Amino acid sequence: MSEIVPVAPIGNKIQYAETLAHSNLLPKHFQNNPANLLFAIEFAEALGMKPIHAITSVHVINGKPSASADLIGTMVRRAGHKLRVTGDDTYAEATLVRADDPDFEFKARWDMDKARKAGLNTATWKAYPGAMLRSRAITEVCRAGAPDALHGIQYSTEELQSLGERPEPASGSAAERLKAASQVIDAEPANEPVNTIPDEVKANTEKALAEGTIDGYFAWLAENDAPAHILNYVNERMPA
Amino acid sequence: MFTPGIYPDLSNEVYHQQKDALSSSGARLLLSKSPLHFKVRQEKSETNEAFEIGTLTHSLVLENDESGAEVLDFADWRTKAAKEAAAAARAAGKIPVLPKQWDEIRAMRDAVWANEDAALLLSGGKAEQSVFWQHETGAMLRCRPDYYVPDSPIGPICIDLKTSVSADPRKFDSSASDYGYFQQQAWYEDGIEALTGTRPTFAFIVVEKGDVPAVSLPELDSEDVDLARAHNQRAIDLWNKCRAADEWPGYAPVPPVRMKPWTRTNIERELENV
Repeated sequence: MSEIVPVAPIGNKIQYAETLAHSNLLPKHFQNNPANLLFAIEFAEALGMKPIHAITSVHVINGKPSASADLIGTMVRRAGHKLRVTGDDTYAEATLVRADDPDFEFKARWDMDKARKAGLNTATWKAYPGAMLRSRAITEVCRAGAPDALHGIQYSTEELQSLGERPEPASGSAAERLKAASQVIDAEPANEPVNTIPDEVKANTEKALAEGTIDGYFAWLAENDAPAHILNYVNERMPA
Repeated sequence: MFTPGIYPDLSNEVYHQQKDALSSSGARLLLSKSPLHFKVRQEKSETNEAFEIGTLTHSLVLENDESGAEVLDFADWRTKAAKEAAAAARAAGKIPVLPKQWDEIRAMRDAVWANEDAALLLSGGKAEQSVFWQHETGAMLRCRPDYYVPDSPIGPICIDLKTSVSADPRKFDSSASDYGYFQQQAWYEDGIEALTGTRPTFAFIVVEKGDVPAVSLPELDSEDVDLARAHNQRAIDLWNKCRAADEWPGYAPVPPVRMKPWTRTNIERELENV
């Protein structure tokens, strides 16, 4: 049973996105980001769901749309296919029967051994094994049996994030993986906005240039151990 | 008996005295030979020259510790003077070593540390820590990784140093199969996982003995390690059974023994030609 969602003109959608982007009730990655919000609204329309539903349950990771496993299940059921999930904290089995091919059962089974082999021994997996196994079984069987009902959503958010958690596939040698992981850690401090020039420095430089005291300002900065990028900034603006 | 945990400072001697916990080499001996072999070997601690050289190599490569060696200036151990000096060194708790052996061990240390990957793996951890854990059957198990890194960026790492006549990774399948390295890796992985909740990365560093100290870091296929894991399980079950009954049988009976195929073929051919 699909809901009828009226298709709004694009101008209205932009306004809607811009207004909604100010809401602090939105998930963080959409706050003050009307462009991504507009993407989610368009996506919701393609899926025939309400925008707010897509905003809260569709996540775009590295350009790939992803949804919760439950939403993926809902989409498949809405397309008319049957989906059943059984299991407990040790295994989950999902069975999908297509509306257009009721004699064949697609099956996916996940247990902790399979999860461990896939490298999924994270804290979330340890705390909620049943829910995580269930999610994996649902997404796997839906991908296999009803990809046409997923409108480009191939993976659940959790699946894409778990791929992101491991910078290198486990297939690399121990030393290669260690090197890669060490580089990620080494690179982290570089993400700090170390190269920004404080407004105060910019203003002082302008003022010193206007007053002809730029040499003195530069010397003062150097004496006070100003970071290299600030010294460079001032130096570049000094008259030759 | 030790309670489950990682003991950083247990001496090699004390570790090897823990007969109430099964080690990986014990498990391999139980299956590859028999419970009788296991029992007899367990009761006498064996020391030979190869074992001593191995101990020295490990101290030197993993800890850069030269203190255990006493370098004695002889060409070999055949003279009476050499034998007496060696005995005196052992009595003082040292391992006697010939200059040419010592040079070879030092060359192996230098080669390992000159290998970028090996040097990376051998950092942030500690050599020769003793690990005890309890198996689900109640059996106490133990292992002593050559080098263990508890919290590297890729999680715990367990490193095993092997000296070999060839470090050629293309030939590692033979030694890995013959000496049960698959079982060893599965055993150590299980031990660390039982204690920390995380399966460690396992790495071999192989360094070649002789005049070319080549180094390689071969890795074992994970499916084969899982197969060996199942084999370990059989060893633990067998150990539990033998201990419960305190019966340590020799070789198990087999069905009536057949001729080797080539012997049969030869005989059959001869008979046909009569």
